[in-house]
Amino acid sequence: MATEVKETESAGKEIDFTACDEICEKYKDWKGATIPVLQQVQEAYGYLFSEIVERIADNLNMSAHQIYGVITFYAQFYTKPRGKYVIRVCRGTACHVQGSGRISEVVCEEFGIKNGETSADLKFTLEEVSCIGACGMAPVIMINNKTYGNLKPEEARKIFRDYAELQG
Amino acid sequence: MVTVKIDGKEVQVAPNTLILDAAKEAGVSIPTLCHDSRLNPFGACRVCLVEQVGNPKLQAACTTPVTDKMEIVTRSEKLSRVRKTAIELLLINHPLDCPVCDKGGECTLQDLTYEVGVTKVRFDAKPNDTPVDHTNPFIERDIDRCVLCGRCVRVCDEVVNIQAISFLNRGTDTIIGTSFEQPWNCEYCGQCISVCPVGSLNNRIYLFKNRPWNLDRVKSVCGLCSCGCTVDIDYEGNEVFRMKESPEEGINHGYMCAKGRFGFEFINSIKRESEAVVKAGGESKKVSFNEAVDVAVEKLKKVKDTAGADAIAVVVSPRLTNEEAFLAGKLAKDVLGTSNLFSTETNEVNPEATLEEVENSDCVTVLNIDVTESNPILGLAVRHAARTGTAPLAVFYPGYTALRRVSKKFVTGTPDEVRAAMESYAAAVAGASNEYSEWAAKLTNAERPVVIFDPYNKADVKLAQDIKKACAKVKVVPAKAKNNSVGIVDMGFGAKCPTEFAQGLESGKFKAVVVLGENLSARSVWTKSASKAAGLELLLVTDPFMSETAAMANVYIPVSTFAEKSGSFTNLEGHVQSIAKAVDKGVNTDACVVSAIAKGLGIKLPAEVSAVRGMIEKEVPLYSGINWDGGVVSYPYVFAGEVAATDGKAKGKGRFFLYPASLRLHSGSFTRWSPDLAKVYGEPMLELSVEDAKELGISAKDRVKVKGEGFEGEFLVEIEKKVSKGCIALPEDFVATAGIFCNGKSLRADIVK
Repeated sequence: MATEVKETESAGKEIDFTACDEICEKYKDWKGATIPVLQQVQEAYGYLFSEIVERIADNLNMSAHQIYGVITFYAQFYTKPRGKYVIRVCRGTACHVQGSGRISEVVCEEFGIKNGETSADLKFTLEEVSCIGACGMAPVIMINNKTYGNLKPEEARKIFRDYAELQG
Repeated sequence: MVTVKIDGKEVQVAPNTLILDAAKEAGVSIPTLCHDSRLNPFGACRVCLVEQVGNPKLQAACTTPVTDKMEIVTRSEKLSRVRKTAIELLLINHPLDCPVCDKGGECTLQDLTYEVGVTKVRFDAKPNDTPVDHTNPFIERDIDRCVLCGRCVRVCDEVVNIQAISFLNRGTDTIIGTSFEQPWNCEYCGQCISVCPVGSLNNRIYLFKNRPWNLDRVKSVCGLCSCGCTVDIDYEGNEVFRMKESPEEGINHGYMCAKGRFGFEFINSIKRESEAVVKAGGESKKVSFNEAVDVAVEKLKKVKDTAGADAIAVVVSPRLTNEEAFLAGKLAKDVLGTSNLFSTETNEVNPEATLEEVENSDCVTVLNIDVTESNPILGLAVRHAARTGTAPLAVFYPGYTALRRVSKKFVTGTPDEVRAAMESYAAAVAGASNEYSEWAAKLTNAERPVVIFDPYNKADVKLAQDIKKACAKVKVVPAKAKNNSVGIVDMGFGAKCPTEFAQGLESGKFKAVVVLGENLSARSVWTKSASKAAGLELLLVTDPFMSETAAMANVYIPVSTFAEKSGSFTNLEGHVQSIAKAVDKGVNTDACVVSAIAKGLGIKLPAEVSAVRGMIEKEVPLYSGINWDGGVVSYPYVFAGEVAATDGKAKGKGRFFLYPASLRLHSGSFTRWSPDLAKVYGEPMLELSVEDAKELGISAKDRVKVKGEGFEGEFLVEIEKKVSKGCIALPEDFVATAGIFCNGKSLRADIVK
């Protein structure tokens, strides 16, 4: 099921800000440092939750609201936890006519997640994207950096199950 | 200069002037929606599109600078069509709930729709129906009505520098909001309301109370702090409905603060007194104005005959107008024959730099005062200098203030550490070599340096004087507290030290005291002796409310507030500005009280403003020939003399350093009676740092006891990120806290749970 930010990361737990502080320190007093800082902090913490954004704002002497504006503008920043495996289902025209909608449904059937959601065990995130530039392989999906093309729904299901069985 | 032709009219303008401004010069008006001349060009709404002859592309007049020989057409069939479409597109997402929208009648979008003649909706998209956001106590946010002109975001960023709201998301999903949809928490200055061209951001104090076409308006000056902002008072009958900015006018350029915008409700308060009260033999009786004056006159005569004129004292509040303070002085000196004129102000420091000089300064230093809270518009001037200018801003304060984001150097720590730092800084300005030498050099090398300080803290006054002595080109700003703190001193109420009045009360020297508008119990210099005033032969108190001091009085006369009288205030720059009467609440002014008492004592004093001004011009040299609406007083000196060195170190013992907090919502007197301010800040709260709260296991809204040498009190806790570890702060001007700070401005105390 989809998870909420607050429940997983920050409920009662102390957050270790060391990595965040170090990244901010590197870029202190630089003009235009917001995006590299956000990228690196996201890399270190997985996603950008409210406490970490507050911390970045304090460190960079900026307003958290302004930073949040930047975060929500760019598709590369996430404010909700991301799964270990990000399944990108192409929903471009070519994939659409080849039945990519059905592949999204398979993901939902397998893990109970819809577009933009992350499974409760933080293993899978489903992202429907407009085109990944491999129309010749339609319908095509990407799992992290690996591409799978010319899929039938049941083939896709098998791939997903293989990933689900992977340890860690 | 370049020559531009706009709609056939040729004008000469400076290069890089925007087409919009050049058109204004040519007398041509171009419709705008997202444009605000005080903010950077943005170009979001496309309503101001114009045709440039020879260029197939339309240009946004508010962002395009002119070039030589440019020819602009602002009215054409093509433009009408384009503008109409721009408005139609805005109306797709804008709900047409104008009949119930607070902005109805003064809405830019409404006016533009009418102007361009949109009569039919060609698109069938339904506007959203998002719930209205009420998380901000003063500002209502209806996101569906928003047209994304960005004026609120820009004013909050470029002017106020709080950045409490931002554009979120992208494309058609864009909304104005806060980080992680948190409750909207900010300085509550309401600048965003004043620039919103639609009904997306509304003033909750005014919400659904009236319609703009019912309101009458006078232009006046805000009476809630010493900045002296030009404001519009909107009223109907005898009720004030709102105080709002006079667009782009006044020393405040049309900006206001939370107190000014939302704190006016005390004027309409049902808790105001309407009848005079006389107490005799333990019984209090409601009497008419004349009867109360007669009793007071009788008693004054008696005291003067039996104990002499020196047993009479006159105390005025820094809220009175210049004219009233002058009359009060006349009453004391010429009618009663006493030299006992008191106020909380002294003539030790006079204004020097103007707000404009602060804005245009190239180096600003703020010594131990949070101007963004105590004098918000001065705070805006500092931010302007630091942000749009190149002025390096250095701030010394025991906790972080809103200036942190624009300051180049922010020295914080315990009050003692900050004091030591300020002393080193002053020494460095005087030539010593220490860690602040680099910062001192910035000040001494600047052409228009400004130093802002707290004139009520003797140790800070000394430092400011030292800096001024070492660097003569420094202009200082003593950040005085009340609307006429400067004016009453000019009218003669600053010659005596306020402590002398306390001593006179303690020693029993005074038998009759006339208190005009002041609340002795809430002033730290007087609070301990205030109870002594209760047993006097005469304690005459005038106040719009039954204040603690008024309740002790044996003659109480209700009087009017600044919205109910004419006169003038002199602000912290020494700028004399006229106020205008908006409403009548059926009570007399202080001028009438003084004049009636003088009459009873056999001397005629006029109460009319023009007559009093004539007398002031004759008798007060500083004001001879002054322009009563906009004149600036030129003071003969800034510092009266060598300020004595004071030990500014924290007094007493205890784990915590206790210092007075500045509050933007309150100064503890009139604003206590404004219910909406009181909802947010109703009683003095103890500011405690996050670390200390954690260590002591105290959470917000707990009640804790604060104990120090000679004082003790119980307060609600407010946990503040900005407060430094080991420090606590309390507001000064509340009856409950005045007794604490009479011991000093910097104290040590313990928290007892």
